[in-house]
Amino acid sequence: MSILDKFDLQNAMYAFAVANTPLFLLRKLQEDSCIRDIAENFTGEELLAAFKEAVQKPPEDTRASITPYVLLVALYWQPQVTYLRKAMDVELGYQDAWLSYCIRVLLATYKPGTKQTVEIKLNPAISTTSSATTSSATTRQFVLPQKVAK
Amino acid sequence: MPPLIGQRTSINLETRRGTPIQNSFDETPPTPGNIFQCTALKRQYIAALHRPTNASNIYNCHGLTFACRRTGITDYRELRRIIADDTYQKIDHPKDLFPGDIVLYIQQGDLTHSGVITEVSPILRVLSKWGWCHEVVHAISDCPYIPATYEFWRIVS
Repeated sequence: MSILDKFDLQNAMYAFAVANTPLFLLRKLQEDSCIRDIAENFTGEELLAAFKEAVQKPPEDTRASITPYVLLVALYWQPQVTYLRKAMDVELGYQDAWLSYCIRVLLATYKPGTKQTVEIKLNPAISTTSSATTSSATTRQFVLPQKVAK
Repeated sequence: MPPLIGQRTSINLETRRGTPIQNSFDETPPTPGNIFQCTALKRQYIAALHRPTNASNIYNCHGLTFACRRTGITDYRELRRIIADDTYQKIDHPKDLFPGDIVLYIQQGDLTHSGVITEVSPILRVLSKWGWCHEVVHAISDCPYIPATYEFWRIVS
């Protein structure tokens, strides 16, 4: 049972299958919106715990193989680098040179991100939607993206 | 089921000038997941010629292009070393290409893919291996790798 069970990792598994280099794999994972969703749905602590569990023993199928990479990239999208840095110290239960390399690359290219919720007052005169419950000045919430994939 | 990521080993691989080249391979047989991905690629790229080779963790595209299918090379710096030491010559214009020349797919400095040109007219075709899947003869852009740029190289002597 993994925290990723309900997520569709098809794109990640495809990238893993055709990757000739670890940097190609990382780029594809960073472009994967599913991994952004994972980063949004879990805390750094939860992702790190799942990563530790995933690398305890050698993977037995493609999904298990890609899981540590997915978790690392999800950690990369976290607003703080703390847990990604902790992932570097996790001892792998098997040999995977790409995984160790990917952690180093992610750490080297990490840029602190922020997640902000801002309220924007909409002018009712130009608002395209209206509701019987809204007052004359409507507010809406927008969540700003944290970072842009490199 | 055996682990997907097996013990990797390497061979003594050198450039023509004797510079050691880092490489590694894994003789673990392909898993059902590997085979599934190959089947999906065959369905997706119907215009390509999919060679009857199995998914393999022994070599990747760069291993096919630069190491006679004996091992995998994944570090772009090693590939640049081979190109320099083996005295490849760059071909600037695609019109000058011949079958047997090498194509490199480049994205942000990384050599994401490589292959051997098999046909230049009417379209450029390339023999390559797609990651740890199988070998494919495909039109240069009809593959999972969309590079920012291509480089073409040839060994003249």
